[in-house]
Amino acid sequence: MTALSLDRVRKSFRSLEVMHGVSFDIEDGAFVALVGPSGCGKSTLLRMIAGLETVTSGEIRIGERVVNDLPPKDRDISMVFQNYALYPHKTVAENMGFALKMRGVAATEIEAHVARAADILGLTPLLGRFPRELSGGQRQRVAMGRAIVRDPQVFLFDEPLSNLDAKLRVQMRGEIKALQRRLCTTTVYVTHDQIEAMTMADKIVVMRDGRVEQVGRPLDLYDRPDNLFVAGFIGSPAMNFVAGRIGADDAGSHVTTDDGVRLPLSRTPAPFVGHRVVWGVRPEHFALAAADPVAIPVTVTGVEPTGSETLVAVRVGAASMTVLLRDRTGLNVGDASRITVSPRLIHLFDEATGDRLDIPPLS
Amino acid sequence: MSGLADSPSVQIVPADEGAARAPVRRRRRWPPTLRFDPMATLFIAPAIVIVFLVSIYPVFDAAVLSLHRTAYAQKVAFVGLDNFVALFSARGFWNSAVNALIFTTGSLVLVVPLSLGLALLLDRNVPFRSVTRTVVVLPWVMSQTVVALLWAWLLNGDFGPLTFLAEQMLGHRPAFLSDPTSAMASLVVVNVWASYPQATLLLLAAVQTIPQELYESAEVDGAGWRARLVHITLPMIKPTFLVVLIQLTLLYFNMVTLIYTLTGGGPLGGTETLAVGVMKTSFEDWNLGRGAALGLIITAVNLLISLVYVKTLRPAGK
Amino acid sequence: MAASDRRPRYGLLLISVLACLFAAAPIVWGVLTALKPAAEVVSYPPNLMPSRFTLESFRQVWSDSNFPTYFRNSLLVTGIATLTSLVVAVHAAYGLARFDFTGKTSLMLGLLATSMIPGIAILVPLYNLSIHTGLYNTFTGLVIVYTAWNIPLLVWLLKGFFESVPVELEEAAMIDGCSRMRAFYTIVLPMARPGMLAGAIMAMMFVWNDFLIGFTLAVTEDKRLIPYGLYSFISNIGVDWGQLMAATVISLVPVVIAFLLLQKWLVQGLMAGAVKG
Ligand SMILES: Nc1ncnc2c1ncn2[C@@H]1O[C@H](COP(=O)(O)OP(=O)(O)OP(=O)(O)O)[C@@H](O)[C@H]1O
Ligand SMILES: [Mg+2]
Repeated sequence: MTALSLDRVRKSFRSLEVMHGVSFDIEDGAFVALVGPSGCGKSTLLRMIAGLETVTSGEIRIGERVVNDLPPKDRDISMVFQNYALYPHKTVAENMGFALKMRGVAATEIEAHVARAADILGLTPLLGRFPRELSGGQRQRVAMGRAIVRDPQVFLFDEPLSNLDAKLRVQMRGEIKALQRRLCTTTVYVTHDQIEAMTMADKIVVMRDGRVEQVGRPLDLYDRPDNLFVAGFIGSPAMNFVAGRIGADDAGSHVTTDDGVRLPLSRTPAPFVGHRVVWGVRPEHFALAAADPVAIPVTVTGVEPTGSETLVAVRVGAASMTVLLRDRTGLNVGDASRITVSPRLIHLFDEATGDRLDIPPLS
Repeated sequence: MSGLADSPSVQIVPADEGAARAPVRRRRRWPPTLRFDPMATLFIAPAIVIVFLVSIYPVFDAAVLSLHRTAYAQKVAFVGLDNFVALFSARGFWNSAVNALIFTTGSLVLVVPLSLGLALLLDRNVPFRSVTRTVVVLPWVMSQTVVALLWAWLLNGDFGPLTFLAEQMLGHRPAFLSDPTSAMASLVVVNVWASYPQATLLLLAAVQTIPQELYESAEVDGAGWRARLVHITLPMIKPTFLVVLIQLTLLYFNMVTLIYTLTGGGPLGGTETLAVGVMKTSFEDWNLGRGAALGLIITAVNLLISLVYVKTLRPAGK
Repeated sequence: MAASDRRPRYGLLLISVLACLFAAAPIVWGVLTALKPAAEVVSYPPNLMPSRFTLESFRQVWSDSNFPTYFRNSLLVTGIATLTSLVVAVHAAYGLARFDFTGKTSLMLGLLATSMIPGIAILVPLYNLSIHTGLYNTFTGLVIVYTAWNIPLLVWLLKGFFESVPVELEEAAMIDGCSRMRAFYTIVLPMARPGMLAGAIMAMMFVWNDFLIGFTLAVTEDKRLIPYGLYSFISNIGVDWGQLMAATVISLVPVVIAFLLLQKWLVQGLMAGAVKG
């Protein structure tokens, strides 16, 4: 069942269009992450769903209802803001109970709901405090509490973890995910941190400049990015790209870069030969193969060991690439070496359009 | 809007300092659109209507009135600029203008150093600072009327303590308020007493926002007390200083109540300023047309004063 | 100035004492005059301390003059005008802080400009206007004029406060089930309380202390406010200085109380007139 659906949603601020027809559906109970670079319109989209911004054209449906013209209070949603937006003059309990109070719920019932939510989030000892008396993490939790107390149809989060330190962020990430599993409430979660998106979401919507670039499950996006943008955006460190032309000779298919380096490729049907493409491989998919004569020759330009892995910057002809290795390598800057990649881990994109080029395997 | 001001006043100031505001996303609109949000209209309209009726419309009314001869508070004939011409050619006008100048500059010359000194004093960690602060600011709560009555009693020629003290020192009994020169001098002193607290509070607030590190770093650099005052304190409080100067100048130039209730502009017109002139022309002579003309001249001078200050004291490029 | 705090501070202390004397001595003299027996008020050379303290002067102004009427009028007009000023200004300030519309900047500057019009220049037109509208010598007329004169400062002051309230709070409230209007009253308004207190004391002081408008628009004995009332005492022949000082002292009681209670906010109010502009 569809819990939330957007149909060709557009948004203009005065004469400037910032959202150019966004469509996607979210199934009931799903956790959807909205990612994209800064300014791509994530917050704007979320605020349109919340009813805080008007919809210029298109349709937003929550459940069966078209909500375009409903005020926020009638949409049955709750939202966690980046700066939490806790009411400073209300206690934690009052903050959490406010929405119920606005709906005219009886005081005893509010108390029960708040107590239950506080229990889930471990806020019970803090109920009498004011927001200014809480730590950043506690505030974040209160903001969550305020959202769940009401048991809405949809949770909306706008970068809720970006004000926390790295460690707390990882912890809260797990907690939010667990909470969402437990409550099974449809969730739209805005973040520009793709790791957050990958680890938390059932489905990711990648946006750029007011358009949806790809919608899919996290690993699908990782394995089969629809275009150059998604390929570069998902995954860290980012995918390596080199432009070149598909060629074929006795040794098999390959991509020849503009400065003549041959990059490997699985065998390619004839019609594609001569096509200009962008050849892409994730840093973690390379392997060191110094002894392999057909591997790609590289020059090491930097080595960054992190302990568990080693990030090696290399030069391939004129292009730079990053290689992520599990093992300690003994490589030094200036060394010459060779790297290989399994052909099935190679991504090809049309250089002109940036779209994924799916070449049927030549059996 | 203190008891010292004739009307609540808001001053224009470089909007850079202090006012830390939430970043409100605002974009330049083009093409301009007219949008009437009913809630905004509902909220803002009452203020606009009442301000228009009570503050703006009367200015136009005054302008019309100033072009008429009046009798018994009624316009009787359109006389063009006659009222202005009559004003400028009357000796009383120039006398009042000179008095206004003396009163304003005299008060400024005394109040500015006094309040700056007090602000610096109160910024120091002197013993009993908070008590001092409260006491020093006390005259601020008094209305100009009360100040006038109080000082009329202190300066009273028959029983006033200041009269007595002066007699002990001079050897003869002075009549502070019955001689034009000494009346003006007394008036300036009274005005200083009444108006320094507001300036002190504002300057103190400005001085207190200067980060301590600046002083410490200057001290490390070898700056003495005086150098720190000249190179840190004064430049840092300059915007507030400008505001205080404008506020005080306008306050003094427009001051009616204190003068009117203490000396009534007398004796022999010795303390009659332009602003007091409006009061007397309008409500004692009931020459409303001429009073309105004089009022407009005062308004114009107000604008001129603000402009001059802002132009000369504001750093270029801001 | 930490460094100089190490030096002995007797010099500074002396200056402090002198400053306090300058500020307080006239007031003390006035209060002592009010507490003297009538005969000692008019003695020369004057005595600082009365031979005995008496409340006779206070009793006389309170029972034998119109002062209680003035006092009551001033309380009434000040209270109502402060309230209306706040109500009108709070809404306008919020509207200007949160809504964007054509001509907003001009509107703000216009508002600022009206506060630059010297009151004395429009006294006569206001007098005429009040007569034509039937508001001459009525409390309503006074309240309207005071409200209008308070508005520019209050709007600038409160606008700053509203702008410092994060918009997200209102949005959260709207998601929590408030209408925009209700979000304003339940969430934003309570947060602007310091601003409203600062505004209230500024407005209060202004109305309580104003002479000109009362003098122009409220003339009969039963409508007179304190400043004009006190002034009319002095212009009567044969001033009783003891009683006059007693009346003055009584008139100071409300403002001094307000001042001591709200001192903290008062500086904010003052600064708003200065910095926010
Ligand atoms: N009120 C507004 N008026 C005009 N333009 C706006 C307004 N709000 C947002 N925009 C524009 O809309 C675009 C999308 O903004 P939005 O805040 O949705 O980006 P975002 O994806 O949330 O970015 P970030 O990751 O930095 O939060 C931006 O180009 C922004 O400048
Ligand atoms: Mg955003």
